[in-house]
Formats: sequence, structure tokens, C-alpha cells
Amino acid sequence: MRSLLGACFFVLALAASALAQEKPLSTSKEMDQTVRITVTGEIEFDYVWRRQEITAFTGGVSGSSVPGDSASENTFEGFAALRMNIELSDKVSALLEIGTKRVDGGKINFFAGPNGAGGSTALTVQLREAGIRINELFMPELSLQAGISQWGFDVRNRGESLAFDLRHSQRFSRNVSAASDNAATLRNRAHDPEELEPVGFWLRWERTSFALDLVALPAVIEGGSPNNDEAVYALDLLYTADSKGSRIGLIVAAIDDPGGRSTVFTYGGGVDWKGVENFDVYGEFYFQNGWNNGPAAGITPVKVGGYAFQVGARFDIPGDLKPWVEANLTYYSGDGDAVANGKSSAFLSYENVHDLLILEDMYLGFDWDTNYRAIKISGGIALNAGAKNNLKLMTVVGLTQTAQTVRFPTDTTHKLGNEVDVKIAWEMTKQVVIDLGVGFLFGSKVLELSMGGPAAPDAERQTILFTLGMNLRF
Amino acid sequence: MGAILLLCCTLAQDDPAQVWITVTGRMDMTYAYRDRRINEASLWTPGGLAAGSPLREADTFVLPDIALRFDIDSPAGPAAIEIGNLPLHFTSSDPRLQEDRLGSASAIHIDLLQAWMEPVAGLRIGLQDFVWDPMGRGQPLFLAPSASESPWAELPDSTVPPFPASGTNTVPQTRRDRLRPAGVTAKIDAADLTLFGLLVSEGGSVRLDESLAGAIYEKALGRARLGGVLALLSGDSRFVDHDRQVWTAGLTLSFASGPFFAGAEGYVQRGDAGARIRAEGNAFRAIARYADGIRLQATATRVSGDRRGDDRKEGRFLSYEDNDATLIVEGNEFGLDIDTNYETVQFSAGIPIPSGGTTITPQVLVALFRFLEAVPLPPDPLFGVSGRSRSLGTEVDATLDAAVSRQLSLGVGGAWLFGADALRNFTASRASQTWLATVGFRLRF
Repeated sequence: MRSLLGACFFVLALAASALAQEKPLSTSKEMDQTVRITVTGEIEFDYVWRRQEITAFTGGVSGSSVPGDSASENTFEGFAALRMNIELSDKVSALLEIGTKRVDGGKINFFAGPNGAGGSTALTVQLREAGIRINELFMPELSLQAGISQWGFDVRNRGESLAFDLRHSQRFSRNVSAASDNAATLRNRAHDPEELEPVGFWLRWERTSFALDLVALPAVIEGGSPNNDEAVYALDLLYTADSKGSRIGLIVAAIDDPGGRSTVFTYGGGVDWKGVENFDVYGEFYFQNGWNNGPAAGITPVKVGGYAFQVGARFDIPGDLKPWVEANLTYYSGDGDAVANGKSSAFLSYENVHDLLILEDMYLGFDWDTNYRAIKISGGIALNAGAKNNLKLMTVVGLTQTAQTVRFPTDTTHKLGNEVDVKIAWEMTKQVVIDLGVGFLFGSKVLELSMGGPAAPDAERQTILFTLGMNLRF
Repeated sequence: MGAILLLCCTLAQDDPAQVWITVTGRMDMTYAYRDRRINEASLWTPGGLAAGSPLREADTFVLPDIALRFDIDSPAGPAAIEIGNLPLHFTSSDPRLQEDRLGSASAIHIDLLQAWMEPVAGLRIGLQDFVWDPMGRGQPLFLAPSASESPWAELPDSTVPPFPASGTNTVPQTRRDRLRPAGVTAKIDAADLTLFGLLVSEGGSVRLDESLAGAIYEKALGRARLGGVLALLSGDSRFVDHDRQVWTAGLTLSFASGPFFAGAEGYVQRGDAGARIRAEGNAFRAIARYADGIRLQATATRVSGDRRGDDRKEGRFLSYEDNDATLIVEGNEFGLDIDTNYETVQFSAGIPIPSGGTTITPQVLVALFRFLEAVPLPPDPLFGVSGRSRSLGTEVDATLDAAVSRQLSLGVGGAWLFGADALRNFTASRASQTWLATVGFRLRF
């Protein structure tokens, strides 16, 4: 739902009118150090309606909604951002972005949200991006980015990284558990939206179809002492195999979390093959080992041994309406032990998979991101609504289960439920997209039991989410 | 530094109503590794901190200093709006003594830093930066409220037990802040005069406001430059109360000729430092500099402290200083920010070396420090003080800056403070040395 529009980048230089008239950069002669700044921005404004089974776990507007004391809520959510790309020279540039945040500090920021005293409060303007980039550092192929890092590892490059998208994810260790998921798990996952702010440097060596990245982010989450920081160090390789954009990616990453013995290594990679006409076949696999102290430092470390994979295929059917279908199997390992045994088998990651509005989306739904398996069938068409193929309709059906048993006091289950979503994106102009989404989750025994079980008055196996919004990029 | 353009309206170029907006900004980002002993000593707790305190551990963080400024030039006169973060603003109970770290639970907040207009040339009204740096070296000793913490907040804390009333009243304190003064400044070029009246901290009632008012005179006399300041620092803005109102008079003189620069500044204070305690602080600094390729500088600084807590005198020099010449002892970004009761002699040398299109500048600074009034020493029991020391140690700073372009430079630095016996009573390990390392970049556009 988010960012369905591709980059309709309309550059508004600060000398907006001048550029539009193809005039050169305007300045005065006494300003001998004038540089060009390109200003772009984004506004995302969504109306979101969540039924009470969702707000019971996301926390709702109050942040304190719980099963038995929650209500359906309709809210306005989103953000506004202003980005400046500062061109210092042909080789050196800087990026600065300020604006509000859709989620921050583990909670959703609502427009006109409550101030705790009967009134509402304005959203705070915050720092979103800050960094420099130096191209041709020592050699033509080498570039350096320092500051808040935009690095991620996404073999398909479709904005849904299976394991490494730090900017749209939570702390790495949030799913560490030496025992199975339980009655508190759904709330823990749904109640923790975050966009991390990893700081460090990113070196990229790139020649023709090869790109090699070395990433050091010592302050993904700042904890004071180096022992209390969450840090990411990674080396990845991306190879673009053909002109269609087929890619092969490999990565090895070390994530250091608070605590004396708390480092997890993740190895993996994937292939996105577009060799056969109209077919896009892909697969990714990651596994990890190491130790982690869990969300709170000082706890006896547990051994980590999770894995994750996805395979899928997309077929673009020739035709004016650009129909397409896709099938995907996603798997994140979980821990099934009834009693904590010193080993956590749940896959730990900075994932940003959000095909399903309720189960997977961090901004809207539960963000169930480990101990998870799903078969997702999706398809769509693009109609004409004032322009060619600018009205995109898609639907996705997700058949999901937990990979390992979730244990409740009175029952156990794998049934995470089935979800059907319908999404519409109307690209009114190159800058404006109107989004609509409806999500329907049913047959979720995990949801019902997390709400207290069949006997609890509000407990349901199904829930609904609706969202209607606008995205403006300029 | 450099500016950028900005034509804001589509009016014809010769339209007298045309408004020019110039956008400038800064983006500094520094990764710091701060030794645990700096953290612990920053609280100046006799005996050091209890086991388990997060300040007894080393500290790493990335400190951003980001600002975006819009200068509006219109027929109504110049005006400016600046927004950014406040890297030194310290208002929470954050035990790490440093807010605005990147990667914290919440993203960095962007605040209003400046908003002023000049309806008449030289008359600036509004929220504004105000820094007076008569030596021009970027380390103002007295008047930089927009880069400093309040001098008044130190007073109540200096007599808390175990410090006896009979001993020194000058307990060092580490407080990091950047105040946002609002009010009026008037620069009258014809008279070489600057007048200022600024509200530094809003307390609600006039009796609780903190303000700063006065006049600065600066006159060029050939190669020399003469200056004087008379300022009233008010912790209580109601003039008739005569409470917490300190007058400061200062004189500065500098001389520049080719690569040589020499200057001196001195200040004395009189007035009421609160509760009918007489203010008797003073400060002095002398600088000699040679810069012709190689840069050599010698600095001597003395800022008074208080001798006794049981008399009716406040000997500390109260100021809105922003003197961060050394990374550990004086630095307010990462160090102890000691700004009173000390004297120091500093020598520095640096040389720019062109290298592959960039300019690399290594610099070394050696600073000898000494407390003017002795502070407690171990092995004092926690609630009794016997030994005292004036030894604040020797600091060696080494920095390396590489100018990637006119706007961007990369820097790495290290600082080592040793022989600081006075720190022993404020660290559990009785440490007399500590260190700090930084790496980062500095962007001006």
C-alpha cells in the first residue's frame, strides 16, 4: 500500500521557476560558493480503519488498548518530508531530509493524536536523512556514503527485503526466544513499529554488473556503552546478470547486540532470474548462527540458529491491461520448544515484507515476521483512468501458518489464518497516487487465543482493515 | 561559509519587490568513543558512581549537528529562519549526559534555532544567535549564549554535601546546553557599538526570567583592534530586586600584522550572585599566533573560582562561554566542559599539507591545566573531605582534518588527559587519566 507508485520524481529546485524555464542556476556574483540544492518531498496521508482485534494488539491511539478493552478505530496516519540533495561537486554530495515520521519510538504517530490532556498534538518535525556521499574515492569504482545509511539488501529490489531493510524494521533481537511463541507474542510483534536510524559508513565498489558493498553501522540502535549498542557489519555482492535486471546476491552479516556474547552471523543470498520472457523466478535463502542476549542485556545468552527462505514466480501476461499473476512461498523459522532450552530457532532479521496488510505490514497490522510460513497468490491488472494503465488493481490471497506451534495456556495452534487483500492504486498524475486497501483475515486461531480464547467476549478469529490514502511525491 | 542561491518568486528580475532567499546550512556528524572515566567524572560525584551506573562504562555515539537556514532578503529588510537540532541540549534525565544521539529510540527532533528580522539596518529582533568573539578564534570566553549553558544553574549545586562550607565552593560541573536567546540587538556601525537585550531563559514571572543586556564597543585602530564590553547578567530580571544580577566589564585588545596575531582579553564581575552573595569573578586570556603555512599558537587562560563556601563572596566567573579549545577538559561536545576555576597554558601547531586535490591538516595541541582553587581528593570517606588538589593534568590533543572540498572536510581526533589528580575523587577507580577519540565529517553549504 505504501509507495506503490514508482519514483515520480519531480525535481523542484529551490530556484523552481528558474529551472522550469530552463534557466541556469540563479545566484549573485558575490556568492562564489553557490551550490545546487534539489528539493524534493513526499506527503503520505492515509485514513486507516482497524477493527478492534487489530487495535487490541497494536495498542490503538491510546497505545494501551488490549484484548477485552479495545475498540475499532479510524485514524489519519502518514508523514510529510522535505528532502534536499546538495551537490557540492561532481563527486561529492550530501543528503538532508526533515519531516515527520509515520512511526517512531515503537508507536504510530497519528495526525491530531491525543496530547494526554484532552486536546490534540501536532506531529514533531524530525531528522529523517543526513549523510554525505563521495564518488570516485581513491578509484573510479569506489564510493563512500557516511551518516544515516540507506543500505539494504534486497535481491529483487522491490522494496520488500526478506532480511535486511533497517530503515523499515525493528531491533534485530526482538524475536529472540528460547521457547515457542505464546500468548504475548502477537502483541509484542504488533506493538513495536519502528524505523531504525542506522549510522555509519557504506563503501561500494561497482564496476559494470558487479557491486560489492562493505557496510559498518556501529550505531543502529544507540545504547551508550559499545556493549549496549546494536551494530551491523555486512559484506554483500550483487551481480546483475542481464539487461532485464536479473540479479544474484550474496551476503554475510554480523549483528552485534547488547551484552558480552551477543553476535549473530547471517549468511545467504538469492537469485532473481528474468531470463525467460515475461517470467520472473526468484528465490532467497538465509541461515544464521551465533548468540544473543535477547531484548534485554544481561540475560544468559541463547544460541541462535534460525533460517528463512522464499521462492516465487511472477508472470506478466501480455495485453493492454498488463495483467500479472504471482505465487510465493515464504518461510521464517520459529522455535517450537515448550520449555526454554537455551536455543532460539526463530529467524532474526530486519525484514520488510508487507504483502499482507494485516499479518505482515508493520505500519498497519501485526507485523508477524518470524515463525511464519505463507503461500501467497496474487494478481493484478492496470486499467486506464485518465491515462494509460494508471489504475492498478491487485488482490492477494495469503494462506499462512506459524512454522512452529504457538502455545497458549489452554491450547496450541499453528493457525495464523488466511488473508485476502484488495488493493487499488490510482496514479492521478506522476506525483499523486490515491491508494485504497482492504484486508480481511479469517480463520486465525492465533488471533482468537491471543484475545483470551473462545470464551472471551471479544475474541474473534477474523478481523478487517481498511485504508484509503494519498501519496504525493514532488 | 558558502551559500546557495535562491530565487523565490517569479517576478521580473528588476522588480523591486523581488524577494531573495538564500539557503545555507551545516551538517556535522561525529562518532565519538568516550572513555568511561570522562563519563563518570562528568557527574563530579565524590567517590565516583555506584557499581552498575551506565556512566561507569565507555560510551560510543554519533552526535549530529544539523541546521538549515533561510535568509530572506526583501524590501522590508533582511530576516532569517533557522531550524536544526540541539546537540547539546540537556533537558532530560538521560543518564548518558548527551541527547540527540543518532540511533536512539526516537529520531532527532528539529527545533527552531533562529527567527529574526531587521526592520532597520543593524536592528535585529527575534530569536537569534548571539556570539561575541573578540579574538576571532572561535572560542569566546565570555559571551556566546547561543552556544552555552546558563551560568546560574551551577550556583545551587556547589555547596551540597560532602563539600564543607569552609572549603572551596567551586565544584566543577559538566552541563551541556545551547541556549536560545530572544530579544533585540542593535549594531550601530557609525559608533562602533553593539547594544543587546536578550531573554536567555523564560521563567514565567519576570522575577524568574534569565536575561542578558549590555553594550559592546569595538574600534579598529590601524592594525590593532580595541574592544570593551559592559554586560548585566540577570538570573532575576526584576532590576529592583538586586538579586542574582551580575555586572561584567571587559576590555580586549588585539593586533594583527601579516601572519602574526596577538590579543588579550580580561573581564571582572561585580554584583549579587544570589542570596546577597557578592560576585567577584574574573577571567583573562592572551593569545599569540603565527600562521604562514605552519600554524603556531600559544594561549594562556585564567578563569577564577571560589575559595570558600562560607563567606559572602562568589569567586567564580559567571559566563556564557563557548571555549572548547581542548577536547576533554574544555570541550562541551564530548568532554568535561570545565569553564571556571582553572588556568591553562596551551601550545598548538598545525600545518596544511596539499595532497591529491585535498588539503590534510594535522594538528597537535598540548595544554597544561590547573585548578585555581583546590578540589577534594581521595582517600576521603564519602561524606568528609580532607585532601585537596589543584592538579587538573595535561591534555594532548591530536587531530587530522582532510578538506575534501570547500564545503566538506573529514576529521579524526584523539585526546589524552593525564596527571589529573583532581579527578581521582570523582571516579570509583581513582583515575587520574582519561581519553577520547572522534571521527566524523563537517559540511557547510
